[in-house]
Amino acid sequence: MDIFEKIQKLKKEVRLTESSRDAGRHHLSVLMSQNPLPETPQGINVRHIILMRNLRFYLAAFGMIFILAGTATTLAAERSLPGDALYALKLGLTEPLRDALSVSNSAKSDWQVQKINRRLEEAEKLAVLGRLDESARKEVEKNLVAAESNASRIISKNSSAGIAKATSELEAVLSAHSRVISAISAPGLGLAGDGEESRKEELGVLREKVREIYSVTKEKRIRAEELSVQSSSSLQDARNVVEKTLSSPISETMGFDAGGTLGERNISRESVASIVSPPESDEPSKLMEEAGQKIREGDYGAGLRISNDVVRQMKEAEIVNQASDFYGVKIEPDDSEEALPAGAGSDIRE
Amino acid sequence: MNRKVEEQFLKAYEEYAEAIYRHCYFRVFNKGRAEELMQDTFTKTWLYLSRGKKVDNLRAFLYRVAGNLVIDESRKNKMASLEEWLESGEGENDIPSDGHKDILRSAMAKEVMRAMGKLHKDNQEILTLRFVSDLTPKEIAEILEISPNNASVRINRAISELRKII
Repeated sequence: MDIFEKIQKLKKEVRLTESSRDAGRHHLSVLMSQNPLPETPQGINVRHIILMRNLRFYLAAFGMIFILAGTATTLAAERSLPGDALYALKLGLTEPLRDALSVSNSAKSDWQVQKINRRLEEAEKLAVLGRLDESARKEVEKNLVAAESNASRIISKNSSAGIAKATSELEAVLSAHSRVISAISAPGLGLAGDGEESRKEELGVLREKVREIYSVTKEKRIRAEELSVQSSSSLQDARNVVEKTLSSPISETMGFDAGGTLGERNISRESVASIVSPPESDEPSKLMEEAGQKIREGDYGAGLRISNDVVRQMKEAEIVNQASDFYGVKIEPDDSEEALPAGAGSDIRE
Repeated sequence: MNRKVEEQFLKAYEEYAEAIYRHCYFRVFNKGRAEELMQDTFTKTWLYLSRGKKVDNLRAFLYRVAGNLVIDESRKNKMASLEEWLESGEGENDIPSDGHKDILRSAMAKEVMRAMGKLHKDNQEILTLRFVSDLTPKEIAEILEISPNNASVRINRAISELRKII
């Protein structure tokens, strides 16, 4: 046998053991956490940074001038609905300005989810104002589909765990608005003026569209959660995402100041539980503790799933509660088979 | 940006740890030392990145670091030649084995170790890159920071030296 054949044969028998590989992986994760990368690596193209800084400066300056020159117009545009004269300004200028000012993938994803929430709120307001005819509904649907497509594209730039988190929040938005649309479609509630039947029909069509996007989003979230446990790097991401969620102020998720972070053991259990959970279910803060425990045990996949479940429930409850107050309607849990698990925003204020 | 670099680095560990370990093994013929060298390779690379330095080709950089570490260690320990080390019997336990006393395999491994051990260090490195890591002359050129033509010439020269030895 030739020496090179012998090298090839011997080479196949030289393998790194799984335990050595695991030990190395662990060593690296410790090393990386103790020696983080600098905020601005020297290797990054400096010209690109200068251009980006200039771009941000120009955008910020332009935004400032725009705000000073037309605060009233801007605010009016922000409040406008499809069909209003200023609505084009909202979609064409004020929202793109916020697109440009979102820097991180995570911030961009959050803003995209918020934009979908805006499109659905606009549709509900149109319906309650008696302005949701077939043409308005088609415009709403067109804007909604465009927003969802844009959101999917931007969210997909995150890690698997980041995708799971952002998609989970989008799922909550869609589920909540599906319930709000059902509530304002009910006879004698919300719909004013003539043509109640036709508006109810348009709301029904819109709700179907929302449920359709919801189903696809849910599948994407489940898939992203599965993917987030398939490699050590994605597991590390899952841990980071959950730790960030646990340390974020509860007000960021719930829209009210509950006085602490999601991960703290003793905060606002009553205030959160009173809104989100029926008495027989686990309170969100208890589940958040469980997510934290899973992370400490190294079960990052389970930690991510629990964390996403809780944040999803809380976000859905927040949207539903706000709509309930705004429209003065009682919003029931969704009775479709794809409704969220028990406890998801079912305790709605009368 | 940082997140992306961290992801790429962890992915590189999954993809190249085995190859770097094997590369180190065929330079030092000692499992324990090869593992340490592989680990040091990734550690030093991360520390380099954490100082804000840029790496264009992470794979080539890892091989370069591993090669330097092998040389550093041999200098630091004033390591005897592989031949002497092998004769001492120290490497016996490091010949890969599935637990059976496979005399033929052991003889084959010794022959490879002996032949490689007699090579000039530069030739040992280039043959390991070519025949153990299965890298192309172009990839080897990137690692050694030489031209692809120069890499091909050096590979052929190393092959000739190895053939003469055996």
